[in-house]
Amino acid sequence: MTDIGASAAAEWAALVGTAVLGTDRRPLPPPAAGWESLGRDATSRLPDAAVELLDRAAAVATARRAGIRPGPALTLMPPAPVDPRPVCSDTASLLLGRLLVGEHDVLLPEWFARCRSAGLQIPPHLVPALLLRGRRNPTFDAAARSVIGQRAAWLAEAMPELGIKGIPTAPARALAAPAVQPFVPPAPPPDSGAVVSAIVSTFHDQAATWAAAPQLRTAVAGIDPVWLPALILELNRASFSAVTERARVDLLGLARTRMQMVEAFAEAAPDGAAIRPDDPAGTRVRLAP
Amino acid sequence: MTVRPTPEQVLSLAPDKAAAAAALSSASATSWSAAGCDDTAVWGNYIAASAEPYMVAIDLSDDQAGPAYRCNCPSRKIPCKHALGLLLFYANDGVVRAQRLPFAAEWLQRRAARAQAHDEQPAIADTVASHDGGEEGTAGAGALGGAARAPRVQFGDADPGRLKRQLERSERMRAGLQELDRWLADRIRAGLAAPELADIGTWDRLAARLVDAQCGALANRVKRVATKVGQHAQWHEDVLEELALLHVLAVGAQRTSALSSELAEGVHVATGLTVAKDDVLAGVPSTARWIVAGESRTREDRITVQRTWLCDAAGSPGGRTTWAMLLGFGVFGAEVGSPYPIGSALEADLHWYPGGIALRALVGLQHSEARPYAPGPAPAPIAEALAACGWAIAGEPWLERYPLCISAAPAPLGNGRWALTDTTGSVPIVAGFWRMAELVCVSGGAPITLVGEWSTDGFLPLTAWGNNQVVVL
Repeated sequence: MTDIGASAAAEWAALVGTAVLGTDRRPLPPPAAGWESLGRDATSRLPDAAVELLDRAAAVATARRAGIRPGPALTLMPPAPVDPRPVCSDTASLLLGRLLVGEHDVLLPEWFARCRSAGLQIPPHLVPALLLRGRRNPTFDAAARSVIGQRAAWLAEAMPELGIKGIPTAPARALAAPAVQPFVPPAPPPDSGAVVSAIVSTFHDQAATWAAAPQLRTAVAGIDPVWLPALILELNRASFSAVTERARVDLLGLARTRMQMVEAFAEAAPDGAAIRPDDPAGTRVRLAP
Repeated sequence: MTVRPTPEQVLSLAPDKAAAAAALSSASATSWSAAGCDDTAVWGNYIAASAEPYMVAIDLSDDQAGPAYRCNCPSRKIPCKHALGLLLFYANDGVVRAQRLPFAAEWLQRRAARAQAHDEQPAIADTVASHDGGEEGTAGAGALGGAARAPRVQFGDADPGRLKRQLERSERMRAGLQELDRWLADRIRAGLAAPELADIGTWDRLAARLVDAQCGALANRVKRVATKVGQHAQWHEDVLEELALLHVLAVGAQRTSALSSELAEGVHVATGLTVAKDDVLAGVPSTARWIVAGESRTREDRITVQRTWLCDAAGSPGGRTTWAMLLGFGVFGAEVGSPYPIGSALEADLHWYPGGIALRALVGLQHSEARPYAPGPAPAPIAEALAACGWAIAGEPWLERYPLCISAAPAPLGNGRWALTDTTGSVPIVAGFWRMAELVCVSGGAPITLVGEWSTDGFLPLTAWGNNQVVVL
């Protein structure tokens, strides 16, 4: 019985050898020891070598598949350094997933800033995506690594095939330097209420075309979050215009996503450094006529 | 006194060419003992390869409905080759007049009694009613092959059209399976190195013919084999293995009557005989708390197939995990919705599809909503999980994937390949698994609970439980 494994290998090799050339060209060798009766169909009286080969191959193939054995136990790789920070909430992590696939990614710097100030950890399954994205974007890489922590260097060492560096990507060369923007959230304007009024007025003037959307997006990403409900209200109220509709829907989505993000981090760290404005919430926006 | 049929008339009753050919060889005196006839019947003992002879009788009394047959061979063809052979022997004037043999006399008496009863009440479907004996049928039942042993044929079914459709379908399937087996033998004769094997058209034509024969599951399988040609240096081994398994299915499906009922049902499902949902839901359910353990999708010829794996939260007494697979289909391009969130658990009745290795199931009555379930499934050591997988494959060698739940850590094998390991052994991860970095990062180098599918290519991780978080890979 101990030889059945070896004889299976011999039988299989013989069958494969004949099958590759074809039974018309190469005679089917007799079965190996232990495989004489298996795969032989007693009821078939046809002396067909091809059918006999298939019968015998079926027996060995079944044994090969069913006789699956685990490989040798492997040595574990060095464990990742322990990160004492709690993992951010599910809502925040889902949101980061959405931002990373390009949905309102203007909010990414703010996500990092809030995560850092709340002292939270990025869920591990999103770490590779961040590091891969940072391979060609040094400022993004630096911002992401400041939130990821030591796991970045550990992953770079554990999976060299990813092409991630153990240390942050070197700053860009001098030539490209002017184009590089620091990866930080836009500074809040001195008067967010006025910015909201201005945004809403662009819809009244039908100036909020799709071409103007990038500037509007930056403005929405920068305003004080207490003004977000008012902005959403006004954007919902804005009358329909074919010229501005696309930008309106986009800004509405951005404002809502940002509100979700603020709430997600406020839950995690109610006493944290979330941006707490002095203005009472729900301030009515004065609109330009 | 009925008119003696001509040999041509007898052969026209054959369900297929194979039966006719076999009948020709058995229509000689050497094959029969105690063959006899009278005005309305023919009978005889067929000397078979097995110890007991087959007792064959043919009732010729009904001129309108044609002859009725009885034979205790396992074949499900009606008439079987023995009955045809006897009739042919009779047509060739080989059978002498004699006293009825006891089994023939008893059977003919029962038929006569039933015919009288039928005259009094309107017959529904004579063919169905005559199946009561389990080993007899009239010519009206038409031709059917081994695959006609449809698992869900309800005797006394009030819908004769359904039986007719099933018989027609099984006849088409049987012809398709015979053609498949011929095709396989041709490939082996010509050799796997023959250039036509590298031509995708060769495989596509076969798959198209199998689709016509309503063996859709086999057609998809053939197309998957086609992708293995020339995949790597040892592709001949992979392809021979698959061809051998196709041969097993083609031969098995034609002889399901000789198999155990569970195995026969497994063969039916693998060849593409569909089972109606209502019939599945009519079965006895398994009630438990089921964890939604993972989801995988594959594309099969313009449709997306989604497998949702459920496992028993409590675990069965033997320590084995009970697995269930819910299948969902979507037109390719359209997303198939997940029935339940992964990582949740629900209490529900599951109804199993027939087959020895019951994996596919339907959710019947749902006792609770799917709620998040933090503990996750209970993992097994790799050696034990693979052993369970091996037993399942030994039961149904054509199984293509089997779920595993293990607690293991990733370890590099070199050359970009990875494996999962614990103290009992390791299992390789399929090449080209694109979420490997996520898996490594979630594990942090330590063992985590993983659910995935085993296939001949390796282990495909689907879901990871780490840091109280469910990560869908």
